[in-house]
Amino acid sequence: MDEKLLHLLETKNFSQLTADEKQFVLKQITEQEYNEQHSILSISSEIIDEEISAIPVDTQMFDNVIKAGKTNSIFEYKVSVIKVAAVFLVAMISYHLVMAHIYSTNKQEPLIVHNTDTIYKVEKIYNTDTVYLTEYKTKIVKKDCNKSTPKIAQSNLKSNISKEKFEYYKKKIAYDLQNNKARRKGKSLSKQTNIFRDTLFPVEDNIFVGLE
Amino acid sequence: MNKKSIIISDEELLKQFCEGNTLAFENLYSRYYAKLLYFITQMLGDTENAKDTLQEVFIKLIENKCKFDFNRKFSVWIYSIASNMCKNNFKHNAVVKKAEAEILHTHSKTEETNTTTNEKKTAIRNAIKNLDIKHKQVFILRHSYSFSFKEIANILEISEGTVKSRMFNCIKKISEHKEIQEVK
Repeated sequence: MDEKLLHLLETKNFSQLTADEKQFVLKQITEQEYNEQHSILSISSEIIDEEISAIPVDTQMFDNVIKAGKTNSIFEYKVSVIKVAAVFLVAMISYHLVMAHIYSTNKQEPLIVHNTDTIYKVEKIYNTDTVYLTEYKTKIVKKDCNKSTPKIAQSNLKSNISKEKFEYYKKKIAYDLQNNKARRKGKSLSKQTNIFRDTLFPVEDNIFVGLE
Repeated sequence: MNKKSIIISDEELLKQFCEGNTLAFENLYSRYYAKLLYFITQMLGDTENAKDTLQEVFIKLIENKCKFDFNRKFSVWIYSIASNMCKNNFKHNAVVKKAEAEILHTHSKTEETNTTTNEKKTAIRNAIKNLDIKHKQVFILRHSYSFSFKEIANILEISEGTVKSRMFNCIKKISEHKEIQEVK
């Protein structure tokens, strides 16, 4: 079937066709088929026309369309993205300019408050690993009694001791001190000698202090 | 519809409407309401849904009235809008059953006394109704508004060859329909 055949089917029945057209049609379909299809198309058009003409025009919809059209026409002006972006940019620049102007007119000298007492400047920081603390101790000197003979002032002795006795005891003590081994071993001296010694030379843990 | 509106072309009416003449739009509305509603109903199968879609078509017409290329044919343009709207609204399954009910309802109003013709009409009506959407839209556009194959191709955004092929298939399918065979 081609377009020419379709056109003939839509417009003419077989009897209305010219001799050439009949010949053309019969090459493709029979006369009966042609008439049948022509009838179908004619009735189809009729049916469609009938059904369309049976539809009443809805005036309510017309009013709705007009109203909607008017409402939409407010938003009819469609702008491109570039235009919107340009307007936004201009608005932003204007806003910043206005704000900058307002800021500059309202600008006040800043109030400076001096609130600093002392500033210590640290020039160099030494990092050390160990801190040495110096501790002072009393040094106890042990005097070797053998090296020097103690000098005993007579005034330190009791007043009732005579000069001869003093000399005697001096020699005696010197002798005892030279033989201090005996003293260390706990060997007792004579009573008088001890008294004399303890008076002149106070003893602390077998060490003589302050003796020169 | 007055006499003047019949003489004036669709394109001229649209031009007048674009210039602010609402009466021109009223004429266009009257001319296309029934045909478009029939076409959309056949596509969607639901009269209520079709009415909503048709309303959107007319609103779109108002919104784009001044964007129309006046070198084109108005009828092709408005049917293209309707066809695209139908594509957006397609709901195949629920649709077909409702369409059947609507068509039968319409049919009962147009009953004829001639039984043979009536039987054949019913058979053809049912045969058209049973066409699939792709074939049906080609057939209806061809027979409701007598669009050329090229115009149908433009409306449906398919090739002219496809339109012709679908049209031939339509005739074949209708003539082979059971009820028509029985009427013979």
